[in-house]
Amino acid sequence: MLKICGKKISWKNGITKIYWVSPDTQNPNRYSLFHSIILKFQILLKTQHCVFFCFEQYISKKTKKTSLKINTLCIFATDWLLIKTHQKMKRDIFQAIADPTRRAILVLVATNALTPNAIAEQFNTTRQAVSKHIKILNECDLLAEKKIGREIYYQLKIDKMKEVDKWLEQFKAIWENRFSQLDQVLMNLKSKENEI
Amino acid sequence: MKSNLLMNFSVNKETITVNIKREFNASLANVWSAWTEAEILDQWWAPAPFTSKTKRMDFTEGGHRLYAMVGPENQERWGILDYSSISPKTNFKYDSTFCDSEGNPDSTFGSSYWSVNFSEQGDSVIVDIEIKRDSLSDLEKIIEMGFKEGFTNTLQTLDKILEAKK
Repeated sequence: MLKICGKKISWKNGITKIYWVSPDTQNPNRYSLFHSIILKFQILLKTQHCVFFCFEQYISKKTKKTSLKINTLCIFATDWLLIKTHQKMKRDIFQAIADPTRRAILVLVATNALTPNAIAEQFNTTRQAVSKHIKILNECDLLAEKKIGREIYYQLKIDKMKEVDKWLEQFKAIWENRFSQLDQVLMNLKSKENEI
Repeated sequence: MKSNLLMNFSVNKETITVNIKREFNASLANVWSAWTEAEILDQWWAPAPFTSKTKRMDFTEGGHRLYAMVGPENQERWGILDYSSISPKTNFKYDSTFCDSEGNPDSTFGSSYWSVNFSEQGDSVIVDIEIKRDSLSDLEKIIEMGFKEGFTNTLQTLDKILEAKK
């Protein structure tokens, strides 16, 4: 749905929903809104960071009222390295994969449904530590629970892991944008050659 | 001009590698120049309205490029590229690290190891990029940073500011 420098308009109950990305140099209003937000952010941001917002704008057909919501915030450093991102109304799935033990657990339960004991046996840490990791994964809604007899078996919910791919999609969008700038530069080089 | 240029993007979480493959509708000489000459690099490397500014660049093995991403308020974010291997019009490799305006590296985010491959395919050129990160903990650092509780709160405050603006 989200595309850097693109927008999508959809209709629902007479409400127009527009996605747009800031900073938008083509639109002075959006550009100044972006700067007013950046001012509020100054404590949090290092001055060198590149910041993008993806906005959702709702316009009611009847009342002509407009409301704005931030859908995504991405902060980049020079290297096109995404250093911060925030998506509204998303559970914090990234917290789950930020820890090496939790990643290992996800790999274990991706193929087999396992009991907490069977998972704990694979690690050098205490059983309590492992069950804490399982609890976090469970809170992120990454695990499916299955009760067989007295034992609980955990398995990975594959669908949820796809959210991580959404995070990567943003990184992809940045590259697409950069390459379209390069396309333009290459076209200019070509026309210069033709002049000579 | 071809409108549907090939673009592949993949991330290998096991090897902490990002692979990007893109087709360009231009000559190999021009594509190579666009990646290796400061003057042309500065025209496309940064996302508008940011601009790329190269302070010095020595495109030779063992040479480096010191550059800044400059924001609309003249904020600067410096980076240094150390070129480790160059095979003209075929491949070049470099390490990329954040730094200050004098090129002193800032290790907070670690380095990225880039390998950029060029090949001709018919009338177009394929650029195949591999970016490898130092360690998994580097990637973790990046991911973890984005999800601090306080950040969510700030966003809620922002939502209020936006509400007030409408």
